[in-house]
Amino acid sequence: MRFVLFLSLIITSCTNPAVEDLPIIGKIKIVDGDTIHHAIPDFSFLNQDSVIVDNDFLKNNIYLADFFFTSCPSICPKVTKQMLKLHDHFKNDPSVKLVSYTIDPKRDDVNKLKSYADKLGVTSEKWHFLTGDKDTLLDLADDYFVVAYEDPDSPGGFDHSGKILLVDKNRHIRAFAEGTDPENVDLLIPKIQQLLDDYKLQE
Amino acid sequence: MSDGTGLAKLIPPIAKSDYLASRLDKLPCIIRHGLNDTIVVNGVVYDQNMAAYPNLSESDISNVSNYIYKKWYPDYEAQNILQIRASLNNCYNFENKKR
Repeated sequence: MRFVLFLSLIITSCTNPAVEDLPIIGKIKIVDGDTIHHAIPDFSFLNQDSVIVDNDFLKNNIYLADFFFTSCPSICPKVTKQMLKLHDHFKNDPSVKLVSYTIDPKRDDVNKLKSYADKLGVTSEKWHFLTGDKDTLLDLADDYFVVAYEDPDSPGGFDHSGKILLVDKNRHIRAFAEGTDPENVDLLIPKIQQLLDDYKLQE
Repeated sequence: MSDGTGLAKLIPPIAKSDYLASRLDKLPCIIRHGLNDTIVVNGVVYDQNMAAYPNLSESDISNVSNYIYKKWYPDYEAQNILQIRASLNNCYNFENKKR
């Protein structure tokens, strides 16, 4: 009898052996005994089709986020190419979206972003290119743990990191990759799949 | 990017580029001064700006150019530094004014 109990415990604890749990990335705050995880704050920006995109718009999706600008000569082409790779890989899953925030809204207005997205061959159905107030955008980068600031000595006038972040349906960052490293980005794919599977299990 | 295929309609390919193949001698100039014209590569129109790199040395430009020649246009002879220098002294902008 005890042996059967032991065996059933082993079996139930082995339901997800292959992939480790995705952590929630960021500092934790304890407020009145509740654990508050780091989350993406409220945002509201215009996408390339002049549609307002805010957290509410994305609430039933998981999404990949990065920060770029269209006239960026250095890392952005590499990172965008990797974002495109992820876009194509999850083409057929409507719950996976991509969000690229410009850090140079002065030059990257809606028209510029539309032209950029068109040339990339993607639509806002899947991939939003967002623009808005510059300071708000640069502050938001902090919440995504992406370094972004104006620097006249940098190529293009901005210095920023090429991180790609994976955000879940609760505004939590669950994984990230270095967008300039294709192999590192490949490591993100099973994590995205796992997040999708986790949500499917909950349905 | 290192496969030379570019990025969709944003960035043209370097590999098998009819545009580049017809002006390989201009490559050093393109690297140093960038390219801000609308160009057609393999039938596709590209109009995004290519950044200039004015701070690259002749030696750097020579290395990059020769890498590209060797990798994707092997029939084009590698250029020595004097030849690269001569090319760089002969750069024209799109209005056909000497730089």
